[in-house]
Amino acid sequence: MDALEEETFQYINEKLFTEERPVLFTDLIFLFKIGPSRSKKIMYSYYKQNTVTNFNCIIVTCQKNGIIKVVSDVNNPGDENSITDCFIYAFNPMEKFIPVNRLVDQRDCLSIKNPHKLHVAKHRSKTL
Amino acid sequence: MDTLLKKFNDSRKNDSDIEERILLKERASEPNAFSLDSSKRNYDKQFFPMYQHRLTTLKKRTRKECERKWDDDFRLNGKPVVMKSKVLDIKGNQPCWVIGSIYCEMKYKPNILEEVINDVYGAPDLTKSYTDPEGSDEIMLEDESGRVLLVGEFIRSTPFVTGTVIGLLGMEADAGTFQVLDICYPGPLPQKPLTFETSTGSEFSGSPKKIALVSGLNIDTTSPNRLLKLQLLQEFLMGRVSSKERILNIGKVIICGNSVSFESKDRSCGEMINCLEEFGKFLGNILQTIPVALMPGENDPSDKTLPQQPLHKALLQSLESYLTEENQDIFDLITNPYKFEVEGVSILAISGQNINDICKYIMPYQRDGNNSVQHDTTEHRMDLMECTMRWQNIAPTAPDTLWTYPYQEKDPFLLDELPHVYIVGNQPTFGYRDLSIGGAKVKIISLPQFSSSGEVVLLDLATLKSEVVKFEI
Amino acid sequence: MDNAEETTSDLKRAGDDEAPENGIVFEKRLRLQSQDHGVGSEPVSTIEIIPTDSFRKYNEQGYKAKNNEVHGKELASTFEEELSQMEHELAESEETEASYKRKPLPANFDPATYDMSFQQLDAEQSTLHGFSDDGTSTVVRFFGVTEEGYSILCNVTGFQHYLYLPVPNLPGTSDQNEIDGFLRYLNENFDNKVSRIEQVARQSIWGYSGDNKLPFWKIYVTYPNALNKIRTAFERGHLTYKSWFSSGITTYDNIAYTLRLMIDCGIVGMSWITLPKKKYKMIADNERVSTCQLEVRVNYRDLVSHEPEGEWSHSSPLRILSFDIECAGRIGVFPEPQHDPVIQIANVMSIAGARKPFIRNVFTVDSCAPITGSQVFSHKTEVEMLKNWRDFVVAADPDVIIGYNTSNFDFPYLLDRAKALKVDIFPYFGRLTNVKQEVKDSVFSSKAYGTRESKTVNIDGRLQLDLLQFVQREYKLRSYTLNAVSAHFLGEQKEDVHYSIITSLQNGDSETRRRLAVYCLKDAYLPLRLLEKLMALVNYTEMARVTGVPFSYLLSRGQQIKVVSQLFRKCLQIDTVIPNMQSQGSDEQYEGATVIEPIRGYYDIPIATLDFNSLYPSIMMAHNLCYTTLCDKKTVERLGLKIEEDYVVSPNGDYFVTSKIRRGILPIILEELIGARQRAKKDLKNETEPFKRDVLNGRQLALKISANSVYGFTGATVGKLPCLAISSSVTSFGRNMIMLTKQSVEEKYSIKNGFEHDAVVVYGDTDSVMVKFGTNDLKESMRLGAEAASYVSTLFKHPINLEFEKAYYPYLLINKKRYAGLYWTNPDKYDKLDQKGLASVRRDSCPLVSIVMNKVLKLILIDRNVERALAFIAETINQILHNEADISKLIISKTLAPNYTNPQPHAILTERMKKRDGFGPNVGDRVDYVIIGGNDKLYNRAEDPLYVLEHNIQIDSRYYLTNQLQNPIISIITPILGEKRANAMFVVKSIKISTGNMKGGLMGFIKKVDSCKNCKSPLKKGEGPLCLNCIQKSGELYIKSLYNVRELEEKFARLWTQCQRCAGTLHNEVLCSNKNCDIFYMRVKAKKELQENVEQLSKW
Repeated sequence: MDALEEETFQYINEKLFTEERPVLFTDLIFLFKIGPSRSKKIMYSYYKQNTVTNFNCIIVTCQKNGIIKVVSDVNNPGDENSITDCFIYAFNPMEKFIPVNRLVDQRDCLSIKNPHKLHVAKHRSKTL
Repeated sequence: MDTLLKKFNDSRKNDSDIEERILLKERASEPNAFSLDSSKRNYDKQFFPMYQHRLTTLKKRTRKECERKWDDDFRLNGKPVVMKSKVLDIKGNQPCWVIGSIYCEMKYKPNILEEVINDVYGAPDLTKSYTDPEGSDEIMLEDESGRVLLVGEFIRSTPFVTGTVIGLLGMEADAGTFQVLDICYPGPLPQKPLTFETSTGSEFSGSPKKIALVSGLNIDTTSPNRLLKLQLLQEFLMGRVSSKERILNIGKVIICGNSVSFESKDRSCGEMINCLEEFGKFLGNILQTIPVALMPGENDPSDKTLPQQPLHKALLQSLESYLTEENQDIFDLITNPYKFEVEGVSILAISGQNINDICKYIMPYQRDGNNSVQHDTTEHRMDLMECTMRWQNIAPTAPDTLWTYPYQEKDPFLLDELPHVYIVGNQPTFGYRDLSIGGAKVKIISLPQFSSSGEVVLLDLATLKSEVVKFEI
Repeated sequence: MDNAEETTSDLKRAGDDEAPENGIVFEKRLRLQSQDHGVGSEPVSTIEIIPTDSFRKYNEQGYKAKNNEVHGKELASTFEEELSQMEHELAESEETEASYKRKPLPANFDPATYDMSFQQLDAEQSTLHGFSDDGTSTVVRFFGVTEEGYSILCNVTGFQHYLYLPVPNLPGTSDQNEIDGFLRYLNENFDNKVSRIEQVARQSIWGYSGDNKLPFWKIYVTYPNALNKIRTAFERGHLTYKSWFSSGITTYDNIAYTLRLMIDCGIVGMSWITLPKKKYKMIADNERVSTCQLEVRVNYRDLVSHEPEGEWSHSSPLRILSFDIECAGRIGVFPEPQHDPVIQIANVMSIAGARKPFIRNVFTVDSCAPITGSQVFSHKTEVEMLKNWRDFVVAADPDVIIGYNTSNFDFPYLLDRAKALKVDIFPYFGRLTNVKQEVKDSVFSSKAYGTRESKTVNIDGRLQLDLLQFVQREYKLRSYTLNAVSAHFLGEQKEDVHYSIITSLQNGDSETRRRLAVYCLKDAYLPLRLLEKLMALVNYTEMARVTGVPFSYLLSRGQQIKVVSQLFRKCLQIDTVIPNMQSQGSDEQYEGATVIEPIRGYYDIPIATLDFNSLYPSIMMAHNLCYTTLCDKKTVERLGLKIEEDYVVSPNGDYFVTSKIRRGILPIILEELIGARQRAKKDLKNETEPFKRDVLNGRQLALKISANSVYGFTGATVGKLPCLAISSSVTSFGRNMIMLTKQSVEEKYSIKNGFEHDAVVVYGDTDSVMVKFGTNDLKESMRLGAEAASYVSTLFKHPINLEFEKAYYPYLLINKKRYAGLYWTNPDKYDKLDQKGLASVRRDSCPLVSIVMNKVLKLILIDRNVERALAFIAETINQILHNEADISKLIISKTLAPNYTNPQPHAILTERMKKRDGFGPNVGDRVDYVIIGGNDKLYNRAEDPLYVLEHNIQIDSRYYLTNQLQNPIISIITPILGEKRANAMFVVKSIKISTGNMKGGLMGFIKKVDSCKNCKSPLKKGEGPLCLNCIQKSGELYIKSLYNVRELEEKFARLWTQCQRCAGTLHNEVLCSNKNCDIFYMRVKAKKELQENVEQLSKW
């Protein structure tokens, strides 16, 4: 456990301060093959240990009424009684967050599996 | 904020093991009435056969209803009310009822002839409404024999759009005009009974089965907020945001059109490719965990005319593995509109062009915002969706103002049975309504654009109740 | 005579000037008048400008679901209440035999107690056999309508025709016995037709020789037809009585009897006449000759004629019938009455000024399904239908019969067809029961209107107004088909059904015949709307009143008869007689209007235009030029007249006495016309009621036209009273005035006089000069223009007036009578783009020429962007070279004539089409063609546009560049670029033409091999649409193909739905073959292109 935290913290440091690129909690899921709960915990642990360092957090809250919200005002996150979850979505070294999506083979780190099995094609498509 | 983070993250539960999503029983209509084989299309035709077919089909249904409503001993002012088999058979001084198609002559309808003459053809279409607030519009009833102008107080309180087939009771007023006193819609349509599995209470004790409905992703690679919302949606569908137990019950996501933002052909093909690549990433990720049905919308790279054919495989090359017939269960490229059954529930979905066009007939464009009457509301739009069910035609204004393929012997937009759920995408706001019509019940869902509303609708297939998940930035 | 044409153009322009004020109203009304709803039910009146509630569209919020369906029975009471109200409305719209007829005379009608007032419509000479009044049985019949709408035939009796001749200055001519002997002599030679000889004092209109009146004999005859023989005898010296006239003598006042009576009684065309009670007699029933409700006679002294002013300026409730016939034809043959039946006749009848027609019906052969808003009369046989239609016309009793080409087609066809079928009663539908209607050929020839052959039908008592003839006479259009005219004036396209389709509709069933009937009703209704829109009836009524001629003269006669009428009326008032001149075809020429040589160029500074107001009428008034003031040197000396005070000498040397000595008749007529016009315009300004405004506007236009035609009358060498001295003096004065204006302006507005620039007159024409004051400031230029106009006006005699009217800025001066400019009448906003003499409307050009020219002029003159104009020209040239121009813009259209000396492209094409298709255009049809490529002679390379589209045939780009586009465009840009550079725009491109052709050939060859859709390299076996290199870009390539298809899909859908709307039906096939329509060829091309592109896309 500690070793995992150490590895992930090292990765986050490298990403944030050397490469100066944002780190998403899903990056940890892909690279370290962990679940989303674990990933959120690690993000929070890292956050606790680096409160004096300069970077921005993208924080997401989930509410009872189905709203999933990116918090824009950290001093006013909304009605706390209606919030059912809260986690750090990303660390961002830049002033502005430019989301970058990547197509990743996640079959070995899924939480929910597609009930249909993928059939692999034997021949190339005519136009592809 | 720190207290919130501490509260939820210090004692977060451990990840559970991977679980399999519910499997939905699904059946598409065979054959797909909206499918058009490119190699068999014929454009050496006109549009009148569509209207003829429409009138012939709906006239039979409407006639029965008219006869029931204004039967043989019905009298007006002491005169017997007679049926007229043709519109131009209407005579003065004789109350009667007649069935025909509605035609609206409106000041601001698109007019290519005027555009060509005035040398502005090809300029962007900025029309927001066809109707003239000053009241110059005309509503007529027509069949193959001719047309009469409709007048009277009745037509001011009932919506009329081109292409609907109805029965009207009235009398000739001025020469060539028909004063309307009452209206009659086509008679009731059959509806499949909801299957045993869904109608009994036994399923309620088990897991609910849902589908996710989303439209108007309008992916634009130059809009960071839009991209962030899209990624949150992706993580939600994959079970990493919000309650996993809740998401396990979502068996499929149906994307109802306008997935990419490409409203002007002045934009380069390269930008379209960029948007499609971004869309491919989103799809490639969620397909690993949830089945997807993808419908084209007005702005998607598909036909301009309805019905729109599925997106071509060449546009989604990164998803090559999924684009085979064997994998249609996982990734289904569908037409717009589309009709299918899932868990015994019959669903009819359209990406919204039909209602947007009908709105232009009904709602005048308010140049200033001072007018106290708010025309374009959710309730009003749902009224119009309800009308399409009563008219038994989901796209009556095609082909007059809603561009369509020139069918010869059919009109796929006609209903021959009522669906259980009717989904209209790319609307301004979310709404739902339970419509009771002729003993049947139809659930109407107004599906908003995700890019502006951030909303996804979850439909429970057992209760037909819907809830909204909203992503806010 | 150019002035007459200009004035005629002014009629249209003036009408157009009214449009901005009324445009909104008309636009709204036109929406209500959409042809897409019930046929024949549209409101007609211009008075109705606000839609009634029954037409108002809802604005309320939409439909709420009715949770509880209410059965109809429960609403019965509400329905019944509404129906009760509706029944009242319906009562008057039911068409019955009774409703056709005019309302009957009141039972207590009595000539002894009733002053009969009627508006007379037509006049003709006739005889009341067995009746004599003042020795004559000859009468003038006036057909008219009373205020209450009764039709009337009024016989005016007792008027004897007469002529004048000077009393010979010989012994015995003042002896009453000798005169009595002469009277007996005349009666021996002319069958006792001369009733009396009266000696009167008169003067001749011709020339001034002092103020003395001379003795004239006024010879009266009891039979007007005898007058011509008597006149000829006098003038040729055939009368041997005492050698008084042995050498022949000029007679005076040669005019038709009908017009003579009208002049002497003060009756003008379309005016009101009152018959005082007790002064008129009813004609006995057994002596009646007409179907009029009233038939009366009155002596000419007893009738009261009214000036059409004030309370007598209105019209009676005239019944206007518009009709149209449909004929079944054989394949490929235009209908002929000996073989092809009349199958439908549609009728629409309205009361002038009324809101809507009160009769709408259609007569059909064979059964026809009913039509809402119209009545259908079905007949088993054509003979029966023709009889019934004839009876309908007699019963409905129209005062005016209108149509479109009814003079040359519908009326002659009906009469010839009835003759072929031996329907003997048919040709009796005038108001005279025993007068047969017959077709006569006529040739109308006039310098103003050209020569036109047509047919005429005598329909006594009913005015005829063929809208085609009216439009052809008054407007210059590219095409005169009913489609083109409707599109132009009513803003509506109309479905056009080719005559070959009519037969199949007739041979179908009652439904297809109903469709044909609806179409026929539209064709009957459109002339009525044109009549209203163009104010044809109003304008012609006012013209008849102003000039004094009967209405029927306006379409059948030229301009001269109008001036003759006015001249005779004026002469009657001042005891003047008009000699019967022998009209020689004089070869004498005189100098025309001057033109100041244009300083060609493109002026990017304001050019002020100073115009003389009514120049020629002003000159005639200012210098007192008239027949009665024409003098000579000998007379001037004999009478001791002083130059400039008593007489003037025109620049070409003619003498005219001044108004101090004698006021000329022509100046008096002109003063009255212009004064009346000022009053009408002032009244128009104060009038608010729309119909009265129309009448006043028609009146002031008629007065303007009449004033300008007075000058033309004197210059007509083949005319009633030609006088070249007057016309050449007018033009010589005009020339001098223009030159003096030029000198004065350039002299005054010069740097040496303290102005900033030297003024230059860059151009001058008949009555205007164009001045470059040199300033860039438009406002300053306008101010200087107004000041200069006032200054120059002081140099000329009243009422000559030079006005500043407009400035052009910028101004493109190409040559004499060829220019274009932005037209400003106030410095804030330009009025329009004005052009003259350019090729925009040449009828043998293809539309592309006028489209490009207008666009280029807009870019240069409005946008001030010469570079964009040049780019547009280059782009257009490029489009032509790449075969991308819309084919409808390349079509040339010509009418097929019977015989040609040389091969003509459209004639050769017609023969080819007949061989190829079995049928083709007929003589008289317009033939549309484009020039295709190839090495054949030009006349063999004309081809039908539809054939070209269907077979992907290459257009001859070079022809369109060099023969159509090059000269007009170069003439515009040469003043800007210079000749060398202008020509270069076309020369360089020629090299590409052959290259393109060869490349096309090669591409055609390559298409036979499967190749990569992107890079065209050959594909290996089994490969898809793309080669290995391009397959990586398949997404992007697919999108490009897809967006072509998307664009074409939209275009296809929009074009065909638009055609459907125009056809006015959703459920029936669009049959339109209207090639004048801007989207006709576009829709054919879109269909073809879409099919091809979709097939290509399906190969992915």
